[in-house]
Amino acid sequence: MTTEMDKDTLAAFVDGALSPEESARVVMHLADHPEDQAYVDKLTLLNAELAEAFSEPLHEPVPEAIRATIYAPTDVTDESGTVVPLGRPTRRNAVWAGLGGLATAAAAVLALAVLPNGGEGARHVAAGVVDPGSALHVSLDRLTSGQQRTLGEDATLSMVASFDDTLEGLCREFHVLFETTETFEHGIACRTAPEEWTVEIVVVQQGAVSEDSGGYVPASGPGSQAIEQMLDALGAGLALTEAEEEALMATGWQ
Amino acid sequence: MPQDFRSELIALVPRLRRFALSLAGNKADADDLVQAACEKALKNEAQFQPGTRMDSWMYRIIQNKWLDDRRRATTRGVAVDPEDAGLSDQGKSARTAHDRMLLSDVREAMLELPEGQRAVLSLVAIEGQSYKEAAAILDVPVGTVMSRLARAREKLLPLMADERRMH
Repeated sequence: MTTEMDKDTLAAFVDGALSPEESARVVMHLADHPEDQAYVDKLTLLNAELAEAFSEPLHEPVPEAIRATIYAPTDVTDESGTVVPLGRPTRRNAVWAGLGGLATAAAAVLALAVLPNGGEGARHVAAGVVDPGSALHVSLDRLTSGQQRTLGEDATLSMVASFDDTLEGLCREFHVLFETTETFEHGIACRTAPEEWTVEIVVVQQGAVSEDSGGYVPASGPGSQAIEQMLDALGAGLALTEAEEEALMATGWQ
Repeated sequence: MPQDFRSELIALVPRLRRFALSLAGNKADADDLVQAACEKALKNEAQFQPGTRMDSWMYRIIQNKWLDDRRRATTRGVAVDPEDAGLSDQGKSARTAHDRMLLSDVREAMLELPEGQRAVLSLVAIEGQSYKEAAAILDVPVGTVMSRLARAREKLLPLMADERRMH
């Protein structure tokens, strides 16, 4: 029976700095060395706490001053020598004014009895990996922005926009409107692995939808603000064009 | 100036701000650091080799700038109140007061570490850089990364009482 393992090796194990073979050796060792296992657990927790303690900037938009610095021209001046600001690029080519317009749009409306993310009774979109067989997964794969499809009897999913060059790679923004409960869900899903979509954020607004407004949801609501911040945090730039989306669809969003 | 350089840089900003925050301890200084680092990066874009890791390059610029600032600063170890520093989320997340206190303890403990240990711990534990990457960013041998990590953790682990273990 070996004695305790040295702390540097255990730390390297926690930090993912060991080769697969070395890691396997540590795992074997931990199985019958609870004191070392406890040390590994503490280091793991400490790493997680450190990450959480400073995580706030990840959920915030890029501060305007930093954005301005990055997009400030370094080599372009007009004749008077004044710096010409390039301006913040428009994030989207088209923002949906409201869901009401979508109903009449030449959208692909497909009736499906499968609920988002799959799962019996899972009425709502949940953050996390999207069930590959679910309607949400299929929609993320196949709908271009502006298209919508029904989910079950009372829910409608609308694809809003797609973004490349985010921290997560390709991400898609979508809405789901549940008519009977008047619940509006606004989410972002990103391509996290081949054939895998992960919902990064989903914001739920209840009672935000009325008949009169034709399903219109104010773009400035608190939920939309959270989505905006998430898009900023992801570093989302210009929305992809329909042609770009179709090209990506052809290659499985790789 | 190619737009993809700027796009790549702006996509990194959230992580750069996190790194800077873990070094500086407050958001105002952290953002100043990130902004100065971005200015420097744009000025020295020619030095950046496309295809190499921009994050490592930026971490390095931020860390060097931070050390320069610290060396120039006359005051050291400025106390940070998380409320003033904008670190508090005013209870927006569903954390209990107890949890919030623990996270602020972690922040304070981090700020009490010597600079070298703080930078290594941040790169490895928070930014998820490998020992080799952290060594390259900080321009020190891998052995130094490991010994600094060990010393930093020796200071932080005792602060983690048993009741702070995972529920």
